[in-house]
Amino acid sequence: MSAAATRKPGHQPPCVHHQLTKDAELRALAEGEFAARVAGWERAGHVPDDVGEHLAATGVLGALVPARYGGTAWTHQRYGEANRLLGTLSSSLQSLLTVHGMVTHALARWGSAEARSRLGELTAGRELAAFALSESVSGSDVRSLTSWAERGPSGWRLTGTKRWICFGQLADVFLVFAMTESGDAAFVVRRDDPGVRIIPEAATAGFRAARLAVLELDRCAVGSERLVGRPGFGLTQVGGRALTLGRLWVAFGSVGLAQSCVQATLARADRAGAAGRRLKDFQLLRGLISDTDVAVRGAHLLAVSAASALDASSEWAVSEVLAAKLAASRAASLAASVSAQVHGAEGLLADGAVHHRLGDARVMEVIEGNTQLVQDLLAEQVIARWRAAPEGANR
Amino acid sequence: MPVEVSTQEVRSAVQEFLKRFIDDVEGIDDVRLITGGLLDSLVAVQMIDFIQQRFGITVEDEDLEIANFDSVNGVVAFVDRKAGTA
Repeated sequence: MSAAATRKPGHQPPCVHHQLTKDAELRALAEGEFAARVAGWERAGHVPDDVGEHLAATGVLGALVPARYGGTAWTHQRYGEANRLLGTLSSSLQSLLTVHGMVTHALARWGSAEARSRLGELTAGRELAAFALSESVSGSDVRSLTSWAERGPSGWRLTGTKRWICFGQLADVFLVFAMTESGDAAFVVRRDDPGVRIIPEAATAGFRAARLAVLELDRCAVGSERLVGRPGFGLTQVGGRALTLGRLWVAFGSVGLAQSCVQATLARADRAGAAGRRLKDFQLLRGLISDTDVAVRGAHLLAVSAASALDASSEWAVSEVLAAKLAASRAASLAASVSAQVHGAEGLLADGAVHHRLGDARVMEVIEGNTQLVQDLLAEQVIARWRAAPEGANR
Repeated sequence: MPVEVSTQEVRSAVQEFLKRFIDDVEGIDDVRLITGGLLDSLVAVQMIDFIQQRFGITVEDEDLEIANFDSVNGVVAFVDRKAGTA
């Protein structure tokens, strides 16, 4: 498909439109190969093993890695739009970009020479990466990590259980967070390391095809080159930065999800009913349609703004990302619930797309920081920003 | 390029930053900011970014010692060392 054929003049704000035209290959993949298979993999509850190879051909798996390590070095905005695009298709698939992106970025920035030298495998999609932070009792409260890494004669020994790892069933490389005697730290654990056990999570209502797994580490021995960053900085420099990026990808993915809900809502609402009357003509429904439009388009603009703040290394980029995540995950919840409402009994089909999207939207309000945590963090930023410029320099 | 600053300028800049997030920075110079839980992980990252941008220094892998960032005095000593103002 040519780039020109994918253009829809006037349908997108100019900055967004510009981004879309750059990734004709990804678009062709999403609209061709993936579109033909997505219903099947969502029903079956697993994104197929070969998606990595397909995605790698578009460069998206190396997007957050500098060229010197084999990456394609995309801007945050461009990668964000890729997340949005895949999010319109499947939130499960989009979550691969979230976790693979977070981990490859962290390894390029903080990995040992050995970890960096292996980045080419990840950027080429021969290996996939997953992010292993959450534990049964510490989800968003990352300070209460119970996984433990003990220093040994030639490296580290890791013990602990990580939960709800997106693409954990497929990943070759895990970025694992654990406490050490010198503070919190991040490590690379490979699927084939001794003491590693990977167990699929029980079926979930949302992200049902995201190959969620439990990672059990039982005195898993790794070399000292597997440490990422330094002890005491695992949760801040490595994890904190990764989570900021992850939240941005969740924001863009949520916008994509919300957009697909809107499409479904409009298609249903514009269908002629038995008595000739269309749902779109009921005034209360018109309220839902307009509120959803405002929420989704507003969230998209916030996500684009946050991405360009990161691209410009702006001082308040973190705050912008939190705002985008909050707005977009809620826009997805609203759009999915309106879509379910408009579809009536049809929307209740357990195996149907309307119901799947409802579950996916719930996940967006939980993943990479739940709504209440994000509100808490954003309020801190908003107040700090006001303290930094109380005269209204933010306006 | 490191920016030419005096030790006192570094101290007040770091305090100015912390005032955004901490209500009272009086007498805080030796208080543990990160390991004491006074700054959450996002703010700790922002502080490191602030130091890099404000003083034109780059925090390298080997600079990631908790003592360099866990207190105002630690940060001041670190910036002095990196920017050669001591």
